[in-house]
Amino acid sequence: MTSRLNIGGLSMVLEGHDSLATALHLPGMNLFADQSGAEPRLMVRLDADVPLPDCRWLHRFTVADDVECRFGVDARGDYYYHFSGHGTLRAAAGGRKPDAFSISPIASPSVLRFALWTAYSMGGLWLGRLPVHSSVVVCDGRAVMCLGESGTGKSTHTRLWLQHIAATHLLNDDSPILADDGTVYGSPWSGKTHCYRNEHFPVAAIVRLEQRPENRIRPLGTVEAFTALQPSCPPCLMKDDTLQDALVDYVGHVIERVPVYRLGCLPDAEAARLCHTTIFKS
Amino acid sequence: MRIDKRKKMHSVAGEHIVMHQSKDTSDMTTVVGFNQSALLLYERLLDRDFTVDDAVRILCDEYDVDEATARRDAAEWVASMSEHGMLI
Repeated sequence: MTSRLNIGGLSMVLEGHDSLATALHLPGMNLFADQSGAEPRLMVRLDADVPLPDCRWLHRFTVADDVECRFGVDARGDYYYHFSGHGTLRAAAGGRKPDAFSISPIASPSVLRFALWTAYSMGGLWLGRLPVHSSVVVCDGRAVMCLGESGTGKSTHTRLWLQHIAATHLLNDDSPILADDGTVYGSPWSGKTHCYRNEHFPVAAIVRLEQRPENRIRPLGTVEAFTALQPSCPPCLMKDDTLQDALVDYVGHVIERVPVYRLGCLPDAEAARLCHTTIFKS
Repeated sequence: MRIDKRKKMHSVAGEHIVMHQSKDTSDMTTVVGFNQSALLLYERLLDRDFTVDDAVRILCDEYDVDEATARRDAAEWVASMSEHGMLI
């Protein structure tokens, strides 16, 4: 069985059987069926035979309800993500850009969702697109991406925009796709808020939030803009030299085109108004 | 001392940076930006053992600056590089 999706402006082909059915039934995924007829840029084989690799492990972390994940690279230069007790994703690169992805059978919808996000990250990076951890509000047809550590108050801040600023709506609350031409796309990955919108908008600004006792915003120069955006990109991309080089290029392209700010703020309406006025006055 | 070449310099939107990833499992990255003189010292001293005096000499040769100022700036550069784990 095959299915075509279009996420972040990239056409993807998914092949498989049981895992493909699970994937297509993930909440919101059906909204991203590919209507474009464009040439597929990413190829993902689900229910594939991906043996546990002999790898140099580069990073270890937990995902989706405490599943341990390890990221590594083998002698050929293929990248692996092993989801302990669930399955393995291989990004076949062989020292070049990953362009073919295989995922072993994964029954858990949440782990499969994360594996697909990971495959997208590994492929999209080379095509100028990445999921960026953020909550995105759209105002007057332009998007504001709110970045920050988990629990900083990104979703609270965008919710205040929706409540207090006219002509706003939420595009995504966790992981939109940011293209390096300065366009942000809704995605099927939206965390706990099921905000799935197959739309895209030019980014008016990227804003990194911090909790502070008063509301203040300032625009960032190049180096600070880099440090504001890079931590919200998929962390494994920093653990390998080839991926890191591509990530740095990506972040550089974005910050050349999109203004980046730091906002220290309280969780109040004034913070949203200050942010809105600062960004949209220009 | 030598500059640790394992920490690569990247050109980003017209600026030069070096990134330092923490050795533990956290995702902390320190980014160091290089202004014009810092970049000059980096490029000139990259592939050799050097002392502060070498850095002073480069600054005096390249810029219209007295030795005391150059010495102070060179010392600051070395201290900053060391603080960010870029010297071995």
